[in-house]
Amino acid sequence: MTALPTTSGAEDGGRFRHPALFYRGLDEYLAGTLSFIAEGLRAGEPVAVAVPGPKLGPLRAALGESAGRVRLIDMTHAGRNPGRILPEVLFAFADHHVGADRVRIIGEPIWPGRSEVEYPACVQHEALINQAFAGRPVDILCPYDVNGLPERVVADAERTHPTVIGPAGHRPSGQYQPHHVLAEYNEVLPEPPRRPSTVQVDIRTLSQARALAVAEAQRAGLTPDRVADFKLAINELVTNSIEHATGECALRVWIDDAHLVGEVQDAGRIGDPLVGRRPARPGQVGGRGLLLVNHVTDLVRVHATGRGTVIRIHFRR
Amino acid sequence: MADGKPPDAHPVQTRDAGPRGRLQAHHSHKPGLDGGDAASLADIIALSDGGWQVCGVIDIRNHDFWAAALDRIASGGRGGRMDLTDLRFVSVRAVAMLVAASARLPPGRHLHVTNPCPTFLRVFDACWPNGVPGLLVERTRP
Repeated sequence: MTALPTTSGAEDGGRFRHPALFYRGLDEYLAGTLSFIAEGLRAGEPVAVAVPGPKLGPLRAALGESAGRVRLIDMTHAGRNPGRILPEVLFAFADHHVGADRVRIIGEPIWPGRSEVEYPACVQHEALINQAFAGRPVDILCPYDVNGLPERVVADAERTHPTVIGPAGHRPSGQYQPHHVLAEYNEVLPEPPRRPSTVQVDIRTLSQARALAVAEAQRAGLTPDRVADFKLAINELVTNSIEHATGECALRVWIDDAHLVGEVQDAGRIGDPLVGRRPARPGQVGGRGLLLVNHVTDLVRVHATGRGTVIRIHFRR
Repeated sequence: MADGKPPDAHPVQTRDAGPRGRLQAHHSHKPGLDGGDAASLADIIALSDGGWQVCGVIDIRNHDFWAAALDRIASGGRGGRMDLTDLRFVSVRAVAMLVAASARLPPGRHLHVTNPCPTFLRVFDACWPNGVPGLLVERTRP
């Protein structure tokens, strides 16, 4: 096993560092991740590893006793919804160790098997990390399985990470353009495969929106807890439209083979690309709705234009 | 039919404790909000043990009412039991307002929430996984 060089201080004035690790096979994976972890442990830095579950076993075995000093997280659960990774994995760990000189995290949000409908949200998450942690003393290493992922995904990783690590070592990415990636994947969402149930919602018809959410979630066969989650998520989305847009929105709900899908469209604009991804302060009253939406859903997709915003949530059936 | 129960005709309303512990209603009525859909908004009833019973639904339509009620409860400074058995739905903001009100109680005082609905618990556990000093949440529901 060859140890791969990991970070450099070239990014963000040496504070926030966000390299992509391009690996082929388990040996390169372990070489790249273990050296990153060991560097952090030697420096006394808090270290977290959030990667797909099947990777945790080999990492834990290779770490041996050191595994007890590393927070290990199954990204297929914690990061199933890419919109949840920033608040509940990355910020959660970094903020918990806010007094540390430096915090070190491995985050692998994109793995073979991510679906086409999930991918735009994944790559937007990767682009937003740079803005979210700008100026903070944090290292986030993002492994990419070059053998298992499409070429387009690897090319996008060059655009969302200022530096890249591969067998040849550490190099600046010549393609780093996270804002362009965010804009490019702000895609028009495909029309539903079936005719959706629809209701026009304003403050007078808010209860109808929740009733529709419950009826469709039950029809989709969700468990009672998930029915309640879907109802809560729809309530928060339409409430945001009522409060922050023009006071009304269109709610559409449909069921496809794999998901219950709810969509809220309004004429409002999202001013902060990190909305719903920044953790709330303990005493904060407002601004928690989209965090909760990200928490309870399996996927959130957004299409925002100057004329309005569409937010689509997916619940696995 | 919203929230699984038939609509009642109550507009947004708030009540002040009367001399015998029963509540005396006065209306904080927002024009345009009490059509057929005003159905299930909340009532708060003072209980003989000094606590409160919250009924109905708390959402954007009656956040102001909820905030005012919580202000009164917090400014009383003694805390007490808050029975949520008949609260059928609660927004994220409404739970956050309750948490904020509990934080305004004097040290050693708390609000004791009983029989919260699943939505309350989902929001509370997600947003305050380690709990809140001024808020005790009893996780039973008939």
